[in-house]
Amino acid sequence: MNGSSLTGFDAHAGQRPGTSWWVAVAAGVLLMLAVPVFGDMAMQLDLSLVLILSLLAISMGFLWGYVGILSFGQTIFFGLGGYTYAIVSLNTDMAGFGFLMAIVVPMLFALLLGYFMIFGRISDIYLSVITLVVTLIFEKGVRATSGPEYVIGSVRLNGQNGIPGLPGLPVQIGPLDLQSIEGIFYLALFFLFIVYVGIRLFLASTTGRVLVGLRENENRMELLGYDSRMYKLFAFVIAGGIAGLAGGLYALWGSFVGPEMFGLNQAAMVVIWVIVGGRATLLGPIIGTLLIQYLTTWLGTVGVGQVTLTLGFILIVCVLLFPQGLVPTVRNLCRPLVLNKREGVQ
Amino acid sequence: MSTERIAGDGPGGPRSAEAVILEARGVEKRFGGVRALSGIDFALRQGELRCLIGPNGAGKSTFFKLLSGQLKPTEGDILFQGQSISGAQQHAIAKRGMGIKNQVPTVLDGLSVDENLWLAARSVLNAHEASERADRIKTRLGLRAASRKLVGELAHGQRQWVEIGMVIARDPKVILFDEPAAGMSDEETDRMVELIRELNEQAAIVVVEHDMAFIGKIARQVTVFHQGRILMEGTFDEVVSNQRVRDVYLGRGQDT
Repeated sequence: MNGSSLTGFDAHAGQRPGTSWWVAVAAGVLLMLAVPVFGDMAMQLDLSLVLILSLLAISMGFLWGYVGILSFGQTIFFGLGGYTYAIVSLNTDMAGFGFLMAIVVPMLFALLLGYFMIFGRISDIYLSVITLVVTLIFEKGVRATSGPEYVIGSVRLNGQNGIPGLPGLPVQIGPLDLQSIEGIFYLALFFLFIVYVGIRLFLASTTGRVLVGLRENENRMELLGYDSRMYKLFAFVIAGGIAGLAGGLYALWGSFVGPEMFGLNQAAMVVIWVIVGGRATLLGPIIGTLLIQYLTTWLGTVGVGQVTLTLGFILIVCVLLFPQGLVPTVRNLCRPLVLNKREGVQ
Repeated sequence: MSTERIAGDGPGGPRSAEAVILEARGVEKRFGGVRALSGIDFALRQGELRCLIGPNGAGKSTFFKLLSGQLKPTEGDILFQGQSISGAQQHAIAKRGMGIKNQVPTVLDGLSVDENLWLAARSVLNAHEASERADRIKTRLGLRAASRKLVGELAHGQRQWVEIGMVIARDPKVILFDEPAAGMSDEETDRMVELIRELNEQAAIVVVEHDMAFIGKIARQVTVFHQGRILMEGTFDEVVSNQRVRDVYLGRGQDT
C-alpha cells in the first residue's frame, strides 16, 4: 500500500490548481473547439465518442485513484444512464427531462447499491466483485427482455437488439443544433470540461481532501472523527452520476442503447483505459481512452484480426513498463528537471 | 491470580477527587475459546497519567484496543465520560474527545506532513483555523523542515511525531498511547517524555509501554497486567519494588 501510494498517486491533489493548470486546460479546450472546423465528420464522431467514454473513465479514475475504491462495474451506471434516457425520452417526448434523468436515476441506484456495500463495511475487493457482478446481471437481464411483454410505458426493451431511434436534444444554441454531429461533439466537450474542472476543484475542497485521506488510511480518518462511510458513499454516488451522464450522452451520440453497455467487454475496457492512462490523475483516464479507442479502430482497419488479443498484449506491456500509467510516468520524467531548476535557485 | 490493589482508587490515591473520565467495568474479552482478559476494573481520572505494563501476552494491547473502542468487550462495559462506548463507531468515539496513537504509526503516507496535520485539525476546526493550528503543531513538534515531504518518505521516528501531531491537533480530552517510544532514539524519547507531561496538563493520558526506563520518567500511577488480569496498581516505585511484579515481569531479564 505504502509503496504504490507513494509513487503512483497524486500527492498534491488537495492544492488549488495553479495558473499553469488553467492555461493547459484552456489550451486543450481551444484545440478541441477547433476540431469541427478542420476535422471531417468521421473524426468528429470518433472524437465525440472518446470524449463521452472519457467521462466514464474519469468516473472510475476518480473513485479508484482518489478515493481508493475500484468499482469494476462502473458500466452499471453507464448502461442505466443510457437506458433511462431511451425510456424516458421516448415515453414522454421530453428529451431534456430524459437527459436529466439519465444522471439522476444512476445516482439513486448508486446510493442504494453503495449504501449496502459501504455501510455493510465489505472489503474493497468484494466491492469490485459485487459491482462487476451487478453490471453482468443487468446485461443478462436486459438481454432476456426480447419478448413483446417487456415494455416500459410504450417502449419495448428489445433484449439483445437494444432500443434504436432515440431522439436528440431539440435545442438550438445560436447557429448550433445540438442534434447535429457537431452539436453532440460540443455537448460532450462541454460536459467533459465541466466534470474535469469540477472534480479538480472538488478535490481541493475539504470533502475532496478527506476522500484522499480515506484512500491513504481509512482507520486514521475514522480515528480523526470522520465518518468514512458517508464520505465514500457520497463519492460513489457522484461517480455514478458521471457514468450516468456518459451513458446519456452515448445514447444521444448513437441514437441507440444496447445491453452491451453493461457487458464485461465494456467494463473491462474502462479498467484498461484507466490503467493505461494512469489512475492517479484526472488527465490519465482521458488520454488512456483516446489512445486505446484509436488503437482499437486502427487495429481493426489494418486487419490484424485478433484485436482483443493484441489489446491484451499491449495492456500487459503497459503495466510492466509504466505501472503507474502513461500520464504519471511522463510527469515523473519531467519532475527532476523542475526540481533541479528549483534547487538551482536556492 | 487475584487482583491486588495498593493505591489506585482508594483514598490517598493521587487526584482521587477528580471525576472518572474513562472506565472499564468487569470487562472480559474472549477470542474464540481463548480468554485474553477477564475481570478488569479500571478507572482513569481527569488529569491523570497512567501507564499500563506487563509482559508480552499479558493482555495490555487487547485492553488498549478495548479502551479505544477498536475492540468490543465480550462482557462488561467501557465508559467514556459516563457513556458506554462498547457499541459505538470509531469516528463517534473520536468525536467525543478521544485521541489514539497506535503502536504502528497510522498516518496518511501518500500525503504531505502539512496535509496530514491539516486534515486532523480540520476535523474539529474550520479551514482557516485548521491551517493555523497545523502550523503551530508543526513548529512544536519540529516538523517544519519536513512540512512538504510525503509522510511515507520520512524516517520511522518522524512518522511517529506526525501521528502524535494528528492526535493533538484535535485537542482530545483523553489520549491513549500505544508504545510511544518504540523505535525512537534516546533524544526523541526524552522529547516524548516532555511532550507527554505537557499534554497531561490538558488531557488525561494512558500509556502502554514496555520500556521501564521510559515509564520511570513519566509515570505517576502504574497498572500491571499479567495473564489477562490486573496484577496490581500503584506508583512506579511501589510497582518496581513489589516482589510479585518482579517475579512475573521484571525478574525475567528486564532492566529497571
